[in-house]
Amino acid sequence: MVKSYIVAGHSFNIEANCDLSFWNRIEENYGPFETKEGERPLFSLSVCDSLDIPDKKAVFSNRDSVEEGFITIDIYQTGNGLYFEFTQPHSPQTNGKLLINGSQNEAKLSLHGNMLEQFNTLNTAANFCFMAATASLNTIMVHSSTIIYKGKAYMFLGKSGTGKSTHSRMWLNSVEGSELLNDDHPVIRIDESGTTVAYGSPWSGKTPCYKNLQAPVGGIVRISRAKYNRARRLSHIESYASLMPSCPNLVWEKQFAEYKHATLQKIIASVPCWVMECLPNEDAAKVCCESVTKP
Amino acid sequence: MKIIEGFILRDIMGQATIIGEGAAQVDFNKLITLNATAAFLWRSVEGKEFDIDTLANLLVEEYGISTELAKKDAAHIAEKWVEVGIVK
Repeated sequence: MVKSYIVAGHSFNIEANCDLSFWNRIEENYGPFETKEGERPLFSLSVCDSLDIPDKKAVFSNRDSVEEGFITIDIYQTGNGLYFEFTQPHSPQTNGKLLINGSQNEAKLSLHGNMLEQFNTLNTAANFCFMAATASLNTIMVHSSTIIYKGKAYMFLGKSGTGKSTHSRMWLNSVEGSELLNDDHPVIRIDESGTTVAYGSPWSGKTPCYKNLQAPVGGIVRISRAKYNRARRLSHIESYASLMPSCPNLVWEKQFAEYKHATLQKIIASVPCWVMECLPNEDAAKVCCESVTKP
Repeated sequence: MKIIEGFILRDIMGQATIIGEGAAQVDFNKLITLNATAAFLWRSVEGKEFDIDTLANLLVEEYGISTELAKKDAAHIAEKWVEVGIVK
């Protein structure tokens, strides 16, 4: 079975001969983004039984830095494109092997392990395929908890555990009319008029929030823990430094580093960026809202 | 000395800035801004072996300052680069 999806205006297919319960699991995340089969998807991800890997050269691994509970990723360069191996937390085996071709429009994935491991691996693989295929198209994934308020998106950045999601929750509790767009990996795309737009995605971390919505970005706010609540506007360089580590991309590949740099420059030129030094309380959301939503 | 692999000079809204981008620098989450002189020197020695004399000669040629002053400035810049870990 093949299904087609559109995320941030980019279409892709997922093809798999798996049972209905697996497709139902896919549906939970991807259902809101499903579309009729398009004429030409940007990329196709096909799940296959096995994958032959040509000679490979290691280029990146997060083995030494992966945090407890997160997926281990080993990345290799091959003559046929980038090759990834994914291992879910506590899994005794590799759960996924993914080969993305050089033009990033076709990917093959073999899956191993229990259903949850297989689904989580497929989800990560689709995320990498999306990242690779859209990097040159003014598009970037942002590790962020993002809310929509009065028609604009406000994106909260911070390392895992800093309190991005908590800060979003404080907005939802205390700022009337705010709505969660995505809690982990929304997508930014700069449209033809140069407007930076945030989109919901199937990748929302531990919070099931898979919304097919979009809004122009009103502000990008790094969350920093403090003993008080204060928002400070960042300079261009500070804005770049704030966004750079929060936008996962295949930056060890020179071409992808160039794409990322070009996209980040466009974002910081048009979107106000802030640091919100704050406590995990509702007053923080009110202070943040007053500062960042001012026209 | 040589620039450590993965560090690249980029223009961010008109400001010359060093960014860590290679596989080895994926976890280097800092930006280092350079003034015009340092950016000129960086561009001149990208991909090459160099020492303080190399930098000093570049300064003398580009800015017409005395060798003595150039050596002092070059040593200062090189020391900074080594200190922040972008050159070794």
